[in-house]
Amino acid sequence: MSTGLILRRFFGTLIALLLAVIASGCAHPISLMGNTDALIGAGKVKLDHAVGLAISEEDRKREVITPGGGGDKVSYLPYRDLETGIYIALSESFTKVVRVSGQQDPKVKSEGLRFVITPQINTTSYSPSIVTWPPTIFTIELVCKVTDGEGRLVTELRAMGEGRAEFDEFKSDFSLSAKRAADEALGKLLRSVTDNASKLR
Amino acid sequence: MFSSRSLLSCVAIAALLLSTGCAIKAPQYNASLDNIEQLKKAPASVKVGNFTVQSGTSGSIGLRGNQMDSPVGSDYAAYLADALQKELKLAGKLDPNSKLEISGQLLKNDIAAAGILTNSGEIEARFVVKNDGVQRYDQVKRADLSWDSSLLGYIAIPKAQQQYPLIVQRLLALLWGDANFQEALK
Repeated sequence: MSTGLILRRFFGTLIALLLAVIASGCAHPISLMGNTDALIGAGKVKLDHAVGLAISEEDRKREVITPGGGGDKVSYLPYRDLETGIYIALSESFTKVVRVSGQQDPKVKSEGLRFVITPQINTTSYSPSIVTWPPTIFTIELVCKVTDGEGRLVTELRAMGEGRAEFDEFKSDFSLSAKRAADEALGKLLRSVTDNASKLR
Repeated sequence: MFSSRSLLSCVAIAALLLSTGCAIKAPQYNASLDNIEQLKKAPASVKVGNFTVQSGTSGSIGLRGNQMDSPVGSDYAAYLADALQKELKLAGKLDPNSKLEISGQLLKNDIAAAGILTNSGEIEARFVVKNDGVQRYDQVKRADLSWDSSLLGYIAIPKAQQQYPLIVQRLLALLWGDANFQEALK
């Protein structure tokens, strides 16, 4: 077999592979786990209540896919990645935080939980780049419904985080914009508890 | 007619296209809430002592030619110590003045990221608890994890990178949940 034929086959295979990659639309996995250390000791109010943090197993496993750069997508598990940060933020604001599966969890009664806090996480991502896939802008919106032991809505804690990262920064951490958004959103969640303290006493 | 040097160049370009080719760091450790809830039941607070890497165990992890280093300290022993500190602190069981001290040594620390369908990782460490210098506990714990992977480096490498803290979480779950460890803290 001549070298020319080998090369034609090689390039044919390479092009087919690249086309397959482009066509498959594979999502690049990223993480939303930010620096939760910054939350410790950052609480401004301490409300004397035991509360439940309700995240279902289904939500923990929920994979979200949003746009990256170059026509690619990114994938992540927002509830799994942010649960610890939300737990720490609530622990900074309430005397006790207990994980529960939902409003009907027996621990709501047995542990005497004053409120059940159920987060909803909304995300967006974007990059104007045509050659790199990591998002340069990532947003995280936390909407935490606070209900009493009977399931009545008490208030909503809202926090919005936006993270930006450019190529020079994210080349060693493709999740950087997402982590920055997580850090900002969790910091604002703490402030949201402070702002709603009168409704939560 | 192409020379063999040209052929090699083409292979190199293809390899670059299929990998990220960057030095990377493991994600910062994110405490496990299951571990924190387990640790809250510990009978006493402890301090975290010295953690080392066993001679012959690599200080970094190779992921398809990309070197993944610890984001804290100079090696993964520092990462493990940091993970212990974070979970102890969040559980309210970290006390730098305690007579009880946990120290340890990293024995195995690797991720096999070459597989095109499945990848896996393992960490093995010796944990020692001393009370005022008297040894109360000395056991080796090993955790592993497997996950779906991909032929494509830009999928497989970040995915492998993200599994590392999860393996550490599993390792610490084994330690915190060990009845002998709990007993050693009494």
